[in-house]
Amino acid sequence: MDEQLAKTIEGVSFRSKHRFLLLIVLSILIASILVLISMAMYNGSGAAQLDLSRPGYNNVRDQVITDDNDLRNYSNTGPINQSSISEFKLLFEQQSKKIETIDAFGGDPLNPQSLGISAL
Amino acid sequence: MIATVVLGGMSLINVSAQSTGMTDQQIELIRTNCLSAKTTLNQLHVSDALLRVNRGQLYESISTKLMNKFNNRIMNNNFDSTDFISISKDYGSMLDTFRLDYITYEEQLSVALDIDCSKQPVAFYDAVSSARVKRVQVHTDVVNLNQYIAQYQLILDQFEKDYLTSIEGIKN
Repeated sequence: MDEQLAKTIEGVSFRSKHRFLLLIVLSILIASILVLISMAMYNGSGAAQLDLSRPGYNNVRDQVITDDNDLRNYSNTGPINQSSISEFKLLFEQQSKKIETIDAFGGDPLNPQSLGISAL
Repeated sequence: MIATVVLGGMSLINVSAQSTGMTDQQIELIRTNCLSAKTTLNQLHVSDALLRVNRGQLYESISTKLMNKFNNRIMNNNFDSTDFISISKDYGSMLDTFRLDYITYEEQLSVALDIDCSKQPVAFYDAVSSARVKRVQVHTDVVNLNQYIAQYQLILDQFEKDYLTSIEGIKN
């Protein structure tokens, strides 16, 4: 009984003696776990692929189109008449034309011959 | 254990070499052009990332700022919006596919970039080939998205025609 009491007191005194150290260790542990979770989310969600603030993207960062002011928000309320249909058609055609200008991901830049790694 | 891993890795490379049927001449060519190939891949990696960001925004805004709003508007005015909603839904699903396929492609291209092509030419060739297939898939998604936009445009024209006809009918 005395031995058990002594052990309990010993445990309590260890905790109270190293309370600050435990706090630091636990904080670092929790922070590390949170960082791991957020990194997994960052990589898994596709955010990593869209993040041009990563090193290596300095040259293209300023070419990101951040301003789409030319695309006015079409109101989802209001009547349907010739004027509202024409307004929508105009907005829609403007955006469609933007898409048609470039054949995105077209061509074959990864062709081994164009990379000079094919003997054929 | 390290020896096992190294031997395992080597055998994998050999299998890969056998599967692609590469000649010594080709392996040597990869080693020779390793640096220039890597530079090209790096440039492509960066330019494709920019394209993905700009294209993604454009496709996204067409869906949220135009299609969805117009669908709601015609629905609120008790017009038949079934075709519009159906195409918008397919477009949204294709946009999700595009996002996922781009992630797969980018990860594969990063794998290729991480390989030291002077030491592992066959693995590098295989990684580039795989990235090439995945990029083609991304392009297919883009073509499909553009087709949905064209389809939406067609039913919009038809909707306008029907609307004008019905207005004319009421006037007469």
